[in-house]
Amino acid sequence: MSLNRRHFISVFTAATTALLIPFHIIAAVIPWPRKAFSATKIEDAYQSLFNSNLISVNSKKIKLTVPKTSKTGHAVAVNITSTLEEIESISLFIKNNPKPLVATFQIPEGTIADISTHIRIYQTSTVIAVAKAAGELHSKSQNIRILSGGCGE
Amino acid sequence: MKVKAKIEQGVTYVRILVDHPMETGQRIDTETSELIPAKYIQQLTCEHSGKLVLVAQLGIDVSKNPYLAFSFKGGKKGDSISIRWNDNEGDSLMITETIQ
Repeated sequence: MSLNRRHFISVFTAATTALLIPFHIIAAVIPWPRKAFSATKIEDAYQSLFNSNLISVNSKKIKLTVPKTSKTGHAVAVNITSTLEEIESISLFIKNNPKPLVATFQIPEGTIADISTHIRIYQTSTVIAVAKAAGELHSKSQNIRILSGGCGE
Repeated sequence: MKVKAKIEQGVTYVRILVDHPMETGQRIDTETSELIPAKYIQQLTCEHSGKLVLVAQLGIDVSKNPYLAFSFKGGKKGDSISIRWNDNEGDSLMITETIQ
């Protein structure tokens, strides 16, 4: 399915100004970490993204909110918050997904470490949030059971 | 793309809903039996007063029509924020929204 951009602009016109800009104007702030996103094993994704596999587990300063069970894995709501000082980034991984790295969020000074999104989970798995703070890696994980497989859309 | 930015006690809460297929490149079109090419947002940024307040880098595990919520300090009512995404095929979109 190919969505026409103009189509969805027209859907959300209320109170918003939308403009299309050519791609060459966009300078990527930090290059998109292609290798980490294409990793098929979580350890490789860690190594590629953080250049380290040294991650402290079960951090009390990270709160990861995901349901324990979900009927489908199409769009599972996840929230990550952290009280770690000098936080630089929060990254999210699904251990059993074909590509375990879901997303990585840079947290500039002034931005609150509180991110919510919706993710695809292909099968029962562990969800892991990794926060980088003061140069160190901390994580929190939780299992989620997916009752029916398939993430068709 | 739909954006809502609301300030409460000095914290601006931003909610973003993007209209995007987030195709994984692994689905097969049931009518043509052909693989649907990957098309997904790789980067989404939010700027306020010339400063980036969020850089989100995404992969194919983010759901179709991505939803993102985050918050930052330093915004004021009436300030504008710009949200911009670009995908793996070079498409991009930017919108500006006022903090309510």
